[in-house]
Amino acid sequence: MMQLPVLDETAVQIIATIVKFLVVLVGVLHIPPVMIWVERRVPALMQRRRGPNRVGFFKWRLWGLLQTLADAVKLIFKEESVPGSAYKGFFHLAPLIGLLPTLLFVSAIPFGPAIEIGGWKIPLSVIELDIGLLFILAVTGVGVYGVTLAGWASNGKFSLLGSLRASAQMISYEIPLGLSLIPLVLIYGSLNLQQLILAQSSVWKWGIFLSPISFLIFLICMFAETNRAPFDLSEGESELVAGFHTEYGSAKFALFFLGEYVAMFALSCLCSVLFFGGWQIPFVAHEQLVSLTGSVNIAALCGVMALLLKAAFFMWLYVWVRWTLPRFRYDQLMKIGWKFLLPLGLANVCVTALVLAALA
Amino acid sequence: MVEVWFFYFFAAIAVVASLGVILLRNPVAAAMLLVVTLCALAAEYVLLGAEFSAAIQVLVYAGAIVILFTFVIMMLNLGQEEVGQLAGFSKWALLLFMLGGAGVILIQRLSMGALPPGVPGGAASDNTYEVGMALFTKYLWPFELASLLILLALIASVVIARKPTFPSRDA
Repeated sequence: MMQLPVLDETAVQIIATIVKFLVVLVGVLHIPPVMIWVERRVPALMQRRRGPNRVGFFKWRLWGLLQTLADAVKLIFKEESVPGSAYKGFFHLAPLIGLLPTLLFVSAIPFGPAIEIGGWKIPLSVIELDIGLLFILAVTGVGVYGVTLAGWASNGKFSLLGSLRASAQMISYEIPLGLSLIPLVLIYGSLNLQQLILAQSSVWKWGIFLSPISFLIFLICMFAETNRAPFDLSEGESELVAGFHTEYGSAKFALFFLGEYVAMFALSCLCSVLFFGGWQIPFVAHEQLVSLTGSVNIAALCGVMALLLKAAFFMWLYVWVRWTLPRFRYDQLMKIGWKFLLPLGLANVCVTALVLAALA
Repeated sequence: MVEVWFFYFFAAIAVVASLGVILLRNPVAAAMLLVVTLCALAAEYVLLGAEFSAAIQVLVYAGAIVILFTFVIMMLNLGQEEVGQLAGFSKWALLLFMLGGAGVILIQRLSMGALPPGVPGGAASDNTYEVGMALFTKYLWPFELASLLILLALIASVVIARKPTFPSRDA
């Protein structure tokens, strides 16, 4: 019989990281099809239409759920066209450059408390970082390049204008986004996302109650950072055809959508982590859950479900807002970012610091 | 030992990418390689146990400053031809300059003798704390003065960027 090699801590963590990475990657790939389905059926409900409801197996129509599968197959097998005047290398690289930071973002999210397998403690985030929050800010900062390069490399009017709009918007809203996180770091005293979750031990210590203005700013920036309505000026159909991805087709177009939905999911998770107690189930302490279910792993799984449910609410909010609010004008967008959110964020930081100093 | 190989790996990336930054004619490609260089340097910081500096490096340089470079390049829409004309000096002068610089560093390094053994960085969780403590106690005045300097630069750039104001006709 073959002797199993003895595993040490490093080897276990490396294997665990690879497995976690694959799970997250495959999981994340399933978000866009489901979200696109939601984004067709929900507005149909809101506007008393039917939405796609035909594609299915024989007589089972599954509420049109297979429509997105058909769309994905179509996108992958479509012929790809590259504009003759495009900068070829960057044109092909841009969708990947756009996707990579969002995947890194998702891998920094702690999806639950640590699980135990064979005596090894395995944290439920792909990369566990003590500077998790800074890492996420850095990664979102780099996320602008995909959009910028796509527009520039397509070498067309609509693409360039769309990408200029998108990158100006993302740079502008990154600043209030960062400012909205500082009060939370001040209150909870950590940059580690897992520590931030543990600090929100009861519902009344959640970020939304301790720092509601931060939540407001974060929520607005969440929409702006992902270029979603009402901030979707970068692709304003009526003026720019489709903005930065006008010239893209087939699988590369699909990659941009993947990037957008993954970014939405990542920000939804981050919002739940920072303001809604992350994987903690309201009014049920984690220790209680462990003793109730009798297993650390089952309790951790419940935590993961709680986080995903909270994130799902924000994904729903994205769709809800998109089909409710009209698009901003560009000067309004810039005014909100620089003249409203930035001063509000600065004031919020100062007031929080003063209150904390007074309480200390 | 693994760390040493990672160090050489990222160092090689940084050197090759930064050569690309100064040698390539295409301005956007040069800017992108600058991002690669900065990220490789950030990876080196992580290997040295300075995670905070690494995150700030990517956040500020790669995420903000180079984006503004690319923005300007795109706004002016510099093609490859225009930049070719800008680079007026010969590659040999550049090579000589680089070799000279490398020589100076080498001579300085050799004249120093053996370096003292490196001080191991603090535990990763203390990283942010240590930086904060250093900035707000020992280096408080330099820190505050530097921020004042940056504020001045900010105001100056706003003044320069504003349209020149002419005395209005009513006055």
